[in-house]
Amino acid sequence: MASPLPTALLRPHAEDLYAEELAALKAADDRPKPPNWQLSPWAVVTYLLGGTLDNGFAIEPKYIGQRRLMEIAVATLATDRALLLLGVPGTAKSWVSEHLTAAISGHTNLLVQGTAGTAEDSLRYSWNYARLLAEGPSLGALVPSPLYKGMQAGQLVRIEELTRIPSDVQDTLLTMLSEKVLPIPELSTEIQATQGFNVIATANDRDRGVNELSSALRRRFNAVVLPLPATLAEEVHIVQTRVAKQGKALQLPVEAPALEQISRLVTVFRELRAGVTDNGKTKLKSPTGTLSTGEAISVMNAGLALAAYFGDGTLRAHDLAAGLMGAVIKDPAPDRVVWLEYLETVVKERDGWKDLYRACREVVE
Amino acid sequence: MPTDLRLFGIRHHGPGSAASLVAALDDFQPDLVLLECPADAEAALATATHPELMPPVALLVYNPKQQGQASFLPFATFSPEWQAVHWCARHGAHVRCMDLPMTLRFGMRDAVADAPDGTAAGAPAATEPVPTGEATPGDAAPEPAAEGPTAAAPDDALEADPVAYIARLAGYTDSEQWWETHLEHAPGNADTFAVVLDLMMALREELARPESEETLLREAFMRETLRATLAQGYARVAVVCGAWHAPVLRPELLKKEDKARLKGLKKVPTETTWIPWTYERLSLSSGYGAGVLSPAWYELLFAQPRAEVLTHWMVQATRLLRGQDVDASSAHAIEGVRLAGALAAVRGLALPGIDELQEAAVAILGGGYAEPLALVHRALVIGEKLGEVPAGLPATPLQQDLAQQQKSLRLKPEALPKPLDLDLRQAAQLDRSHLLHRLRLLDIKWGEPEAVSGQRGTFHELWRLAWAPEMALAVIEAGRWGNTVLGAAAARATARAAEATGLEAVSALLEEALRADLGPAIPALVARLETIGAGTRDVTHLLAALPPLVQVLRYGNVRRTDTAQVAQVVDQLVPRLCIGLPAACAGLDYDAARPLLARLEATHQALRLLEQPAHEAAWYGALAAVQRNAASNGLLAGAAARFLFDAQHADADATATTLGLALAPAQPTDYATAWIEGFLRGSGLLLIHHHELFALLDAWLGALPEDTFREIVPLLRRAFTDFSLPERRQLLELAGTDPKALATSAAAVDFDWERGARVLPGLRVLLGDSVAV
Repeated sequence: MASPLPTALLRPHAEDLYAEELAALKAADDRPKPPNWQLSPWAVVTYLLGGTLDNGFAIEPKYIGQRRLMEIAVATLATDRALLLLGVPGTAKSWVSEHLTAAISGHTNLLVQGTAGTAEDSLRYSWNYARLLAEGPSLGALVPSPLYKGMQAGQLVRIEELTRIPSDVQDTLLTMLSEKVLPIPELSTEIQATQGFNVIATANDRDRGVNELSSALRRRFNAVVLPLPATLAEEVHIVQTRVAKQGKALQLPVEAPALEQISRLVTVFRELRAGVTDNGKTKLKSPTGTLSTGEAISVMNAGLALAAYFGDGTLRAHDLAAGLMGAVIKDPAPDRVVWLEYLETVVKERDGWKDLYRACREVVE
Repeated sequence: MPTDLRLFGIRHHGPGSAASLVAALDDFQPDLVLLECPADAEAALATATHPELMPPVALLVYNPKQQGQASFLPFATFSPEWQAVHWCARHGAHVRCMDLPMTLRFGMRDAVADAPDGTAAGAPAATEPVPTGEATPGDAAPEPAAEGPTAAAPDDALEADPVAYIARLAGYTDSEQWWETHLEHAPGNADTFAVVLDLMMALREELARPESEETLLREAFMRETLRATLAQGYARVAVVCGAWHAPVLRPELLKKEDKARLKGLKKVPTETTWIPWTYERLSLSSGYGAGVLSPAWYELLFAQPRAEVLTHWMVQATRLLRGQDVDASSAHAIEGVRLAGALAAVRGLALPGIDELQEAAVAILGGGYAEPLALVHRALVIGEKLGEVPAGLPATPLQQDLAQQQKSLRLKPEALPKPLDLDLRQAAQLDRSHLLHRLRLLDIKWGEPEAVSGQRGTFHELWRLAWAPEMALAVIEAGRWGNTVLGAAAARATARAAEATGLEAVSALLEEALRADLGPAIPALVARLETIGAGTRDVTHLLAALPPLVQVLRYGNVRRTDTAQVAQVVDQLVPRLCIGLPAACAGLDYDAARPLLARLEATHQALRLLEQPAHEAAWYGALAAVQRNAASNGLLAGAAARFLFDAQHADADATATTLGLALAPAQPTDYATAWIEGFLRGSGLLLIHHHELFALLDAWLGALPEDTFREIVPLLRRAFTDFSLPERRQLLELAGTDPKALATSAAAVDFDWERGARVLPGLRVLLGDSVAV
């Protein structure tokens, strides 16, 4: 086994990975920039969606999908409203948020990860208790939060998984977002946000029951819902590139899966998700799970592992069947009916899908 | 005295055009306005100023002898032509229609017969001799003739709204926004129409696209009219026409060629009337070629000053959503207008348009989701306005078609209620029934069906006829669905099916459509049934939907039905139903199970009728699962056992085992009684002929403690009441015989096989050689 390079970072920041592109865009960008923005809104949209600059420099697309959504996101950040990215898991919410921040503020260091245990301190400020005891309350004893820093420097702050943060803690954001002020009662002072400060939050809209935003807070955000990929070709493309990349990382002794297998898998996912077959002729029931692109990738990876270690090294229908069923049947009673109906009315009849039908029927009984 | 002639090239249904036109007319003060409208619509157009005529309305020009030949010229308040007519009325100027009359245009297409039923739905564009002909959308709807050709191909779209074409090239989806940005807000262009004229001239030269014969004819006719008008000595003449035609409408062009081209054209008679129109019909999404994307937004643009129109729209949207219990405050409206502005800036637009407004509304009012905004789209982008036409105007084709059918079927509209008994075996009476059913589908409740008393049979229909005066208005309103009763009813049924969400609603609609003999609507209804069926999680609905479909399939009793389509629906319905059945039969109480039993029975009969081995196998598999499943309701499990036995999918031994298990002491008594009721349903012959089953039942009854027996006697009676008298008598006899003798009797019968075989030759002679005996 080849050991990985000890110095290589597992995952560099977006602004480091795409430093060259950002520099090229900055050089070519002659449009008006909002205060404290590194790039103009036009350049930010180009950075996200890819394109070719006038000097021939090619920008790689970071987000594959509707241009409209990215325009709304950037337009929102250019006003003083905060941006809320919604979507089911695996729709590139955090990815878009990271790249927006990298393009607008130039770095992505201001991040609050929302969890059930996130306390008010991590949104406002906390204290260095040694200095607090030694010096009493002072700015020196204060440990600023990412939001504090973002307000001071006029930069974008990311909040991941906003709806996981307890509701009372969420409400701390209200003053910051409406008054653009962070009061520090201990020092009888406050931090006023400089221009350029704004917040990008991400939230999962599938898990209801986590802490829904209060309508007061929701009103401070413009919401953009990131959808699942629009076309079959787009989704197959995403799955194929990701599976190829991850397969390399996992060093599976197996050839890259045939495009045909991927396209079948993605077709199954898309049809069940949409509740209608691709030709639009047959209506289907949808299962309770999300069946996101991310899940398609993991089903494909599991299939590859099966084929590599227990099969003949080539990905076949029966390597996929178990993973596929696991992805579809999340709630045993209703999803089983959905899956059986799908197998009987669609998979069974489709040309060249006999092997998949048989493999799936074997597993499901 | 030389005439001052000015050309005003407009966008049909363009509010910017309309506003510019009114300003230009005020400025120019013409004595005569020439409109691009068929010349034979001139008389009707003069009545456009009738105070009770409320747009959106359409001028309907049609051939009274062949009502499928019809053209609609829709007008909204923001249509430049509508404004021009009203301007003339206000200022005492004359209006003249200059376009090729429909009487000639229909004549050109007369070579091809229209759909025999009179709706244009049957005439696909491909069969038309002129490529720009009456390409109508499939719902028997309108044909846009105000701008001439429909937008079947991109080239036609170019002619219908060349401004939209240019706007799309410039990256705008809303051509009104392009018009506004480039023609009305561009500095230094005082005369919008001069710019448009130059633009179109350049575009026509640049593309140099060969015009269709019909367009050439129309332009020739327009020039001829123009020359004739100029000869009459008007001082100031304004020509209002689609921008595309403006460059060629010069009187000095092609004088001789025009005369030659217009010679010897065939004429057909036409009549003209007004009918109410809707914004939905005016929108592009309805298939109307020269339609606009957003009629309601255009109306607002025309009615409100530009500076306030964004705010007006956003405030209306918040108010509308507030009515639906969506959080939408004035603060939301403020943020919405701001985001729309920012969005326009990111896109490099001077002003936000309807796209930016809608997207901002989704982000702020809809919380990122477009679904809550569907209502806003319907009301504030497309619009729900329905026009009004006063009753005194000439009869519409639908009114005439109805009158003609009333005459030929000898059904007089009378206000006094009158019963009508129809024998459906006679063709003429069947036609009457069809007409009444079709009118009911159009919400014209002239006939009210009454229950038929028992012995008259299914071929009788009893009606109560009463004509109310307001039905005349209903007929006018129904005119928007089609020009004939059949066509309109079919279009209406299709539209209702598209709106329906329940399987039963569509089933009922299908049934009604079959009674009304709505051939053209059936495929759409069946397709809708399929769509809804797939999403239905309630098996009882599927069970209800299947038998009528099988009837259609087996007997083809629906004329012109595409049975392949029905077969496809059945092929999907059956597996779904079989997969869901076992779960649907479990955990029900007696009252819930009873209605399901009737449906099971109907489905069982239907599937046996269908004779499809795959479906039957799936069905019996499902029944076996119902019968095995301990959680199934007793009634249904018993019935399932009976169905399996009747269909010879379970032999007597297996059924005896099942019966024994169902009646075992471990089972609760109410389960057992329900099971028996389901199993014996309808006929006691089973017990009479299968003594082992009888013995089991007998033993079970005999072993019941007396208290329990008293308790369940009424329930058992329920199981036996359906039996015929002789059956009950035979059962009584059986019960009187010795159980031991019974148990052995079936086996004890000793056949003399040799004697039996002797009759076979005789039978062979009687029945024919082909019968294998």
